Amino acid sequence: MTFSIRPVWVIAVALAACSQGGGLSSLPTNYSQVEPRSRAMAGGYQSTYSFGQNGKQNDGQSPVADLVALGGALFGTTLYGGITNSRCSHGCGMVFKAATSGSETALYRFRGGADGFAPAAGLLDVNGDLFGTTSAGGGGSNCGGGCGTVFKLAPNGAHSVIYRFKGVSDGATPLAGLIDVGGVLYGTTASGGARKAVCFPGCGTVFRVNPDGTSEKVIYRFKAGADGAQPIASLVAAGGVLYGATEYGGTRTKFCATGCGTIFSVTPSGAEKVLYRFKYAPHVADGANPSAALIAVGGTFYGTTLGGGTGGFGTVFSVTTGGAEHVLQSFTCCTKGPRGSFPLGRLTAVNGALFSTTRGGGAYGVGTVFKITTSGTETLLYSFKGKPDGAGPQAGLLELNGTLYGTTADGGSHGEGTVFKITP
Amino acid sequence: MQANRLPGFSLGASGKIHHVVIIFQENRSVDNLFNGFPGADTVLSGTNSQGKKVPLKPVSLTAPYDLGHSNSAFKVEYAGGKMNGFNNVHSLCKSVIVCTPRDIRAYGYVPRSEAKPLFDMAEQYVLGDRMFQTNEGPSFPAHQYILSGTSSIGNGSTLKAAENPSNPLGLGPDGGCDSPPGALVTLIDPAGNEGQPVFPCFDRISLVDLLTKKSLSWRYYQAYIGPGLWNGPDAILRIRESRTFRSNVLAPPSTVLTDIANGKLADVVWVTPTSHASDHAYATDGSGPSWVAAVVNAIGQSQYWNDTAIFVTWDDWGGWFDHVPPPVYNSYELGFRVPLVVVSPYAKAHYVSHVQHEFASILKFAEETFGLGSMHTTDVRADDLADCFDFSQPPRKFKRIPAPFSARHFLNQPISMQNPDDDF
Repeated sequence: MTFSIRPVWVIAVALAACSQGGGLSSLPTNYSQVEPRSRAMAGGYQSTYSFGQNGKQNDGQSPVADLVALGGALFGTTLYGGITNSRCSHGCGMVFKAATSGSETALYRFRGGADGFAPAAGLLDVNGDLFGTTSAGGGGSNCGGGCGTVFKLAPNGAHSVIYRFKGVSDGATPLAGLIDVGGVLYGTTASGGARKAVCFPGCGTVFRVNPDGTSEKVIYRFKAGADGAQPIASLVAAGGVLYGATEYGGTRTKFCATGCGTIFSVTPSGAEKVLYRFKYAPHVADGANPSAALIAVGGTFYGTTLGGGTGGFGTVFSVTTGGAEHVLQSFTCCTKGPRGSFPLGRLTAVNGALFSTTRGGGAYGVGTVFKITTSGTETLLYSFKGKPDGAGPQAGLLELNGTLYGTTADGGSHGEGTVFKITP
Repeated sequence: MQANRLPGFSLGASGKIHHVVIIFQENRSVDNLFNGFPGADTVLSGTNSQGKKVPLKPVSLTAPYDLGHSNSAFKVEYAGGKMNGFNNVHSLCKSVIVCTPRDIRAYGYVPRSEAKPLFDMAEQYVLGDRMFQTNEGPSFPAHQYILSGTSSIGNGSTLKAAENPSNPLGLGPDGGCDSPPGALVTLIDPAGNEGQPVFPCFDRISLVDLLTKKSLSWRYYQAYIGPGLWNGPDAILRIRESRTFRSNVLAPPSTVLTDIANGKLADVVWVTPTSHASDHAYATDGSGPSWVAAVVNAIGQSQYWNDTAIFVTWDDWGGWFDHVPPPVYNSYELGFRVPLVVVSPYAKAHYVSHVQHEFASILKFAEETFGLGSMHTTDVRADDLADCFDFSQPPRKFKRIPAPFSARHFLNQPISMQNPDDDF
């Protein structure tokens, strides 16, 4: 059977092609079709908004990024939905605003041209303006219609592209959000930069750009060797140094032929240093493929890996700036079971405990919300059912006034994803 | 390039074959595609899990449904060797209105009129009715087996890629070292446990290593460049990282026709199809038999005919009924029967081979023909297809295979980035 390819990574593949010249098939894509009695669920969980109202996608589809709070409201992006055209068969994605009580407003719908499309990352609030990235589009001849953008959205909804990636040396396919360090925006691109055989569209970059769009500069290009490759997570800053993760590169093992990924630091001047190289291999239950941003708690970084661990279904780990890594928890479940699998979201610290989501696993096989202490004691807070509460969360959680807010990429009343809240 | 041939091999000693062409089609069992072929072991009815006789009905190549053919689907249908679980396999249909009832969908055969070019070839030359797909699963591992004789994660490893990759991040297409971030494939261990998902890229031996060592040429033709279920070389790191990858892995598949016409047929060639010409249920437009005929005719009418052996086989059974229980070697081998057609001036005439073959039988034929030595995978146990040939006979003159679609039809098809297959 054939199906439509989602656009984000196709850009990189297309770049490779132009330049040159289903186990997990049981991943949760179906979910129980339980009709809603109430959107309020057990365990302090509530789905506050389901995308796809009125059978349309005008209000967005598949939110995969972290929410941000501004003025008591929630702001986020959807990867698809909004305007559909020849470039975006699933919709070009959009920026939305959601009240904590549930109503949603479309702030900007991408058109898939020079303004970009497929925003895969969350937004950054800089003095009331929202900054974000689109993983594709922006125009240009490389990457089949654009290699992604950095954009700004003013409080009145005025959208402007402040940088368009060219897809060669300056990076392409930004899947991560931005951070603000001293008035400069820093981010990563998953491809572009240095080309190597196993990351022919480029092995990714760390870049900087001023909020007015000036002075874009790549401060590091990954080489797919011991230094890592293909960062898809946002950076964090500590003590004037940027810290991040690469999905691949680092140590090659039988389980990770292209490397299990790294935790790295890079100075604003571009000096990169690998803090830790993951080592997932037969009989080595280390993590692999870190996909989410780190958080710093008490001088130690905490994060998640998509893969690796005891069962290969991901881990929660800690790592010090000196490179001492410790797996706090391995997720063990595949589809259905009492525990989550495939954590993709950033951890959020609340009162000394860490909270996040898993893309799969749980009682219904379509994802969980979990809590874990820094000593590694994990508690399953909620198992998604699919309908009407949501399925397949890929984002982390936002703490606002003692409540955690998040999104699911799938599920909900209309199957297009949700915004939810849960009491920790 | 001419081979440095070693003496002492049964086939190599003949010195009459200088080109081995492997045409790897999609998703058909012997009972499904060659039903009623004179002298072949096919049946017109099967049994279901209730012990009831189920007649096989004609089902077009372009039938609007696909049957499960994952490892779990194999186990359901195999039913512990009873071969009566075909009524329980899951399936995907474009519309329930146009599909036959779920429990009889697998019990079908392709009308001879739709497979006529294949019947014509098999009648003139050789049909194997004891060719077993080596692996018990779908396309991605099958395309590793046809290159390496295994889908193991490394040389000597007992862990094998068992399914098609999937991606919790929802980025695609998946399959190979160029897969987008987040791609994972599950492994199967010797006890039959599936799990331990890893990035679908492996460093292991393949026939390419042996060919390269002997300075022999090879080419792999595929639907598009990049990761994909059928793009086998992309998943073998040492091939993907080699300097010759981009000159030896070519798209679209019809490039093989121009290479033949231009006198550039390599010593060993793998030809995989576009989705339309694949024979894969739910994807094909029914042109697969014509596509195979186009390649065979191109060789038959070229300078290469007198020293070429062509092997046409199908990567997996596609979920379709077959009545012959496969021999069981371990937790993942062998799979169900798939057809094998052997075309060569030295192929026996009007011969049906009842000798047991598997994918590595073709690889062993190449090893012995060119004096390559062994990969020490399933090629060790596989036969060398010697029963299909008579090298004492004078080379037979080629007789063109009539087909509804000419070579021009395939040469005019543009490269499609559409993922050809989402086997489940």
